[in-house]
Amino acid sequence: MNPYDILPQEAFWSPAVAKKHMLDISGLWKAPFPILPKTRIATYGSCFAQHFSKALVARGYTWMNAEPAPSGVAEETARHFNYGVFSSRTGNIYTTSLLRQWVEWAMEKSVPPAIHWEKEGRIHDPFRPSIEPGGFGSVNEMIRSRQTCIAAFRDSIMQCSLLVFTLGLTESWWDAEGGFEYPMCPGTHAGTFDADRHVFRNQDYGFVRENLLKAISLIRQGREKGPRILLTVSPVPLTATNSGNHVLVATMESKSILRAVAGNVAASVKGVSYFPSYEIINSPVFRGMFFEPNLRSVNGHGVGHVMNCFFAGLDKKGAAAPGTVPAQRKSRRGDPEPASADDVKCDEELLDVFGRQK
Amino acid sequence: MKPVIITGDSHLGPIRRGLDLLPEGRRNRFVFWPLGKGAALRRKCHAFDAATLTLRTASRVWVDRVFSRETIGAMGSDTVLAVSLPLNTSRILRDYSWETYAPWHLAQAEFALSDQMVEAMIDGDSIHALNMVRNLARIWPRTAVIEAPRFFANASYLSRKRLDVIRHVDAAYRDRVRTMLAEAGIDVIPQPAATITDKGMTALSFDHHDPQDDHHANEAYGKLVLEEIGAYVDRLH
Repeated sequence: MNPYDILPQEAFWSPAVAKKHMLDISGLWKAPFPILPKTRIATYGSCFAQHFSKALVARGYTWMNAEPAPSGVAEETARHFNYGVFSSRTGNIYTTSLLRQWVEWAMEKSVPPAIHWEKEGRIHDPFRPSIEPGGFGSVNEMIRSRQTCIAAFRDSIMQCSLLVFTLGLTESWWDAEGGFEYPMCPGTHAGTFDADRHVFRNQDYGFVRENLLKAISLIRQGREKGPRILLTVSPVPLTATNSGNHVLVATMESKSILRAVAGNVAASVKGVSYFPSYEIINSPVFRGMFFEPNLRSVNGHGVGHVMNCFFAGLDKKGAAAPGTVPAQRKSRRGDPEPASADDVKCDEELLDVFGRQK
Repeated sequence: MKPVIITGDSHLGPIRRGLDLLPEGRRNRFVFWPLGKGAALRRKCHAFDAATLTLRTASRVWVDRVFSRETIGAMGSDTVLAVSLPLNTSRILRDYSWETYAPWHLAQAEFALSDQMVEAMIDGDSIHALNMVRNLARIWPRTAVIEAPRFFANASYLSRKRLDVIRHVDAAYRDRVRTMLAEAGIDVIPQPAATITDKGMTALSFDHHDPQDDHHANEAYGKLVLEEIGAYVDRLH
């Protein structure tokens, strides 16, 4: 008798992988804690994280939308303005240090720098460079929008039961004078690159881990209990690298570090777990079929397969609940006001004056 | 006198009532083609055939009516088509939770909306009415828009909403839609100045007699609108 004698089939490559069709490979993940339709889930991170919100809503799970578009706004318009992508309009939070930065602003441990970028007469938020299509009309408008976002971000991390965070990058850009981090290199989307001021940092294991732990700690300090945290790593390769390495090598290094940190933190911090979206897309078992022809973008089948694996790993107890909930602070939002009363009045007015033509 | 066809939403009711207050000799020029409630314009309510220049309203929600050069021109070649549809802010004021959202420069505890977002909301609300009036103007160039009355201070849908926010949205909507109408070469017959308070609302003295109706105006308002339409039409060559 040895330890392997009592392991389940999933522990062995041959029955779990080699003897199965790739799409029949199952049991890749089991939820380590209850994730029920009523569980209030907030989602943030790199671009791959937005697939979680869509899938959660589609499956009747309770995704927290703490900064929703006004009810009645067309879905297409809301998306154009980046509502409903993450639990507030933060845009992508690629690194654990950016997560920490957002949490510190939300918990008022620090204040966001009063900086802005100008491009073609419009104002862009350096911390959410593409959040407003074409930019804002003024600096004050940008700042007010950012304040709304920070308040909503705080609501989401204070009220969610589960925070899903997708780690995306290790490569980051910092402001040498202010000591803060940009989500994108200045000068790429907007702003002007200043080699003396804008400093590149390819974050190592220790730095990524330290910032993730600090962010989790700050969030939990602000609440009586929770939230539970589910970490994932984005399977999407780097668009470009400033590391000096080939972008393929840089991608593997970056993702390996993020994967290692996520695994370590999940193993060492209570109430934190890991979901293998990175492995599901990138494993050689799947032969790259979940990527678009550019071998970078994850196709719809890949997203669907990742989310199927996620839902397959959940405990199925509990009934379906409404798809989205606003944060409690914003609970006045509600649904569109019923127009029926005034509509009836309009009918009555026409009937009264013109008779029953319609 | 040039004939006038007045068509559009339920705000035609007060205008029609006001007709009875006009001297008999000034009534005959006005003909009413009511369509239905403006709330229907959350969706497209017409079909337009550019080849025949014919517009037909959607009978599922409105009176089934055909606008063409023949039907309008039957009144006379100098007929003016006055439409009450696009400059109506009631949907945007009712449909959105303005107690929770506000334009960014007015926002306090509310979600701050950017100027572009507010404009997108206005565009989303007004598009079907604007498209219909643009098509009507293609059929009949002598088409003008009648501005619907501003909100009344007692409107139920204003409860819990900040007056400054509502006033701003109402004014922004009217400005933006007026601009788009001007770009299409369509005139606006404005709400009679005597009916507007210094706070930008419709004076309560022009409120509908039914206390349950806090949305429509009364016949006195309608009479003033008819006088405004008449003056506009008489200025046309």
